[in-house]
Amino acid sequence: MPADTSAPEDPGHFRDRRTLQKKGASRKKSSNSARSTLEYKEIKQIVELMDQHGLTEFELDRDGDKITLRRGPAPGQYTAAPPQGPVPQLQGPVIVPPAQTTTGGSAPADEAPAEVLPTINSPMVGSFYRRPAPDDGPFVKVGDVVDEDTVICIVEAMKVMNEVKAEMCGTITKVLVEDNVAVQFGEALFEIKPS
Amino acid sequence: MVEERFDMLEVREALKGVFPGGELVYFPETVSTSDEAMARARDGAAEGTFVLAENQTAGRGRRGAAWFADPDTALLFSLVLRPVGKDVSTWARMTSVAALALARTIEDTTGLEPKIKWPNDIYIGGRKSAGILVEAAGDFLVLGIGLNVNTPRCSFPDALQGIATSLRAELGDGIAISRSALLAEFLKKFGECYPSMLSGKGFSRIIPEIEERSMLLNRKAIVYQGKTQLQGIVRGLGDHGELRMEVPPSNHPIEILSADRVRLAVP
Repeated sequence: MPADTSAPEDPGHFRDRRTLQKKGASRKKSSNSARSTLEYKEIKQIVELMDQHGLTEFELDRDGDKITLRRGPAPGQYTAAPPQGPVPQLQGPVIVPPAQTTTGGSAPADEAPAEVLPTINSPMVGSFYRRPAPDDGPFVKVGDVVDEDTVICIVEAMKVMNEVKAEMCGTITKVLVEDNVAVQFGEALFEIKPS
Repeated sequence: MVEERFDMLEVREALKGVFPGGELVYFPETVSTSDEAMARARDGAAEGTFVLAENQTAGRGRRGAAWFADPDTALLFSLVLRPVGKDVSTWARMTSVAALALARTIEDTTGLEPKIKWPNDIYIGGRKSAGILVEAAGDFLVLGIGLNVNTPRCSFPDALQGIATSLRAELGDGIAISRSALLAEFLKKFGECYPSMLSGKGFSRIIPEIEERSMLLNRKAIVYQGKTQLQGIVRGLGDHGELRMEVPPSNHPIEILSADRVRLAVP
């Protein structure tokens, strides 16, 4: 039996309520509305593009006009109630497409850019389990070929054990999170090379 | 002593009262009601599909932990749920909602004073009498419950002596409790609590009662998860049923989402 009074080494599973209270809404606009140059139509277009490309987050800073758009709850935070209206709701793990190649990057011109692969992200806040039970083997490991229905991990909150599926065909190339640690909503769990 | 079997008419009627489209699946013996319910849910079983067994040969709790149940004396069932709206963050409230319905059922049918040990166990007189297991996959949840009803104290294995109990053992009057009537009452109470899971306002209305029924509230508890261990005073629940605890030295409240084990610092 461990000693009762030892200090926590890693409070990763626990959320600081003060931190949560400081966090803003999941959709915010930080500029003064009187001088805003971003119009509703433009924001609508951005949202449509996010939907189209499966993006979960978008940030724009244009001449001091800043906007951050996120789909689903903000990282580390639950939505208090189901969203109203046609806000996209999460049904499974979020698969983030590879980032777009940017021009003017810092990589030397004579090196081929590293292949950026999509990741399978956590659908909720909770504890990440790679194994069905502590003594079992992992659901998946690097090199495993998975399909849409392959269960790749469990994310647990309040003893609700939520199976996460790969939702795409491919080969697992990286496991990005250690077993039995806390994960945030949208946090990348696995890297996958689509087939 | 021969234990009474479930009264299928009574159970089916209770199920229809809450889930009109629900199908009752009964086994004298099965491996695990949750295994059966998960398999059926994966094949598209409707909300309200209800798997009931007199006995389980390999009942399980969280992460493969074994769940002991004495044959024919426990209430062992699993229920398929397909919550409206797919916001999975609200699904974490399921254990709290089910624990409340089960605690109300036990209190109203037996007069005992069950306590909820966050988030998924029911204790009576300091001993565990029931466990709740919730498994989710895709667009469904399976709520699994094991409740020791008529189990004699001597039937618990040595490892559980002193820490497990049953309703009949706590009542101490030797009179068997009807598991069918208990189950019918649970289904009715669950039907009342279930809508609270999906609405922030609805859930906030039942939080005070869940807190009041908690065996940890305002007590010093220790939470273990992986390599992490925290000790503090439990102060209630968060918006999704998280355990809110004040941890020294700052004593500002933190919210705990999951734990391998929780115990009172002073039993």
